[in-house]
Amino acid sequence: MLLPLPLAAQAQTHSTGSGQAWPAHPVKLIVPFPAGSATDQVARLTGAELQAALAQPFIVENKAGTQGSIAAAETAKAAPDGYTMMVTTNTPQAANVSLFKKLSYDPVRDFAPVARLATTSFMLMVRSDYPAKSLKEFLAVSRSKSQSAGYGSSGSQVSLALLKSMGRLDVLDVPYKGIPQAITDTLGGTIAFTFVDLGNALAQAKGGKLRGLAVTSAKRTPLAPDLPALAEELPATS
Amino acid sequence: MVRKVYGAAAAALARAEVKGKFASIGTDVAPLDPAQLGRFIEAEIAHWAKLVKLAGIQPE
Repeated sequence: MLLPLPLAAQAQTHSTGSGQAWPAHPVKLIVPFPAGSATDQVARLTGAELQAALAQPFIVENKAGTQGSIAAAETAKAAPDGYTMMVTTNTPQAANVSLFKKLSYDPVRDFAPVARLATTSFMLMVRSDYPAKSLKEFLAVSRSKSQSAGYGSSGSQVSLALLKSMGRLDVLDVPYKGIPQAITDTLGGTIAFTFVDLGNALAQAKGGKLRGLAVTSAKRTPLAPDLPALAEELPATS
Repeated sequence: MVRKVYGAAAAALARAEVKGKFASIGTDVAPLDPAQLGRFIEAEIAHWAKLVKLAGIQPE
C-alpha cells in the first residue's frame, strides 16, 4: 500500500500531527483494478481492519484502466495530506515502467511507501482433459504441437511470453480484457491454457474443470504447495 | 501518519483470522515496513525490466 508524495506529505503530516490527530475524517483507498479483483479484495479487507483500528472510514474507490496507470496518476496528483492512499501492485509500481514508453507518474518519486500487505501469483491452468498432469508433461506435450493460450493482465502477459521463449513453445497468444474471459475460453476449449490469478485459480481447481500445473512465483506458495513454481523447470521465468 | 497506518496494518496481518481471510482470496500476507517496501519497489522495477526484456515484449 502506498500514499502520494513523500517529503511535502510528511512535512504537512507533521504539522497537522501537532494540532488535529490524523485521521480526522474518512480516508480514500484508490484501487487500480476493478471491483472483485484480488487487489480490490485486499483493499477491502485492509480497509476494514484500518477502520477498526483508527476509527475513521477507509473508503475503497476503484479506478481501473491502462494497467493501473490511471489510478496511479490520480494518486500521485492527490493532496499529500494522508487522506488519499492507493492499494497498488507490482503492475503500476514496477512492471508498467517497462511495459509503457511513457508514464504520467513516477512510481518511486510520487509516492511514499506505507506497508507491503501480501503477495500473490498466477497459476498456469489447463482444462481437466488436457493430456498432461504435471508441468514436466505439459512442457513435453506443448513442445510437440502449436497451441493457443490466453492472458488477461499485464503480469500474465509477461508470464506467457517468458513461458514461450524460455520453454521454446509454439504458442499463439490471445489477449483478453480480464482473466474471467480467459477462464471461460479455456473451459470451452478455444484456448489450450491460460494464467489465472491465485484467488480464481484455487476456486477453479476445487471445481475440477481446470487443472493447475504450476505457479509463477519464484518459489511454491503455501496456498497450493503441491504445485511447482514454473522456475523449477524454467529458471529464468520468475 | 505512515507509522500509524503501518502499525495498524502490521498488527492486523499478524492475526490468524486475518491471515485466513487473505488466504481465502489467494494471497499470502507478507508485511514489509515502509523502508523495506521502498527498497522492494526499486528491486521490483529492476526485476520487471529484466523479465520484460527476456520476454521480448516491446513497450507500447
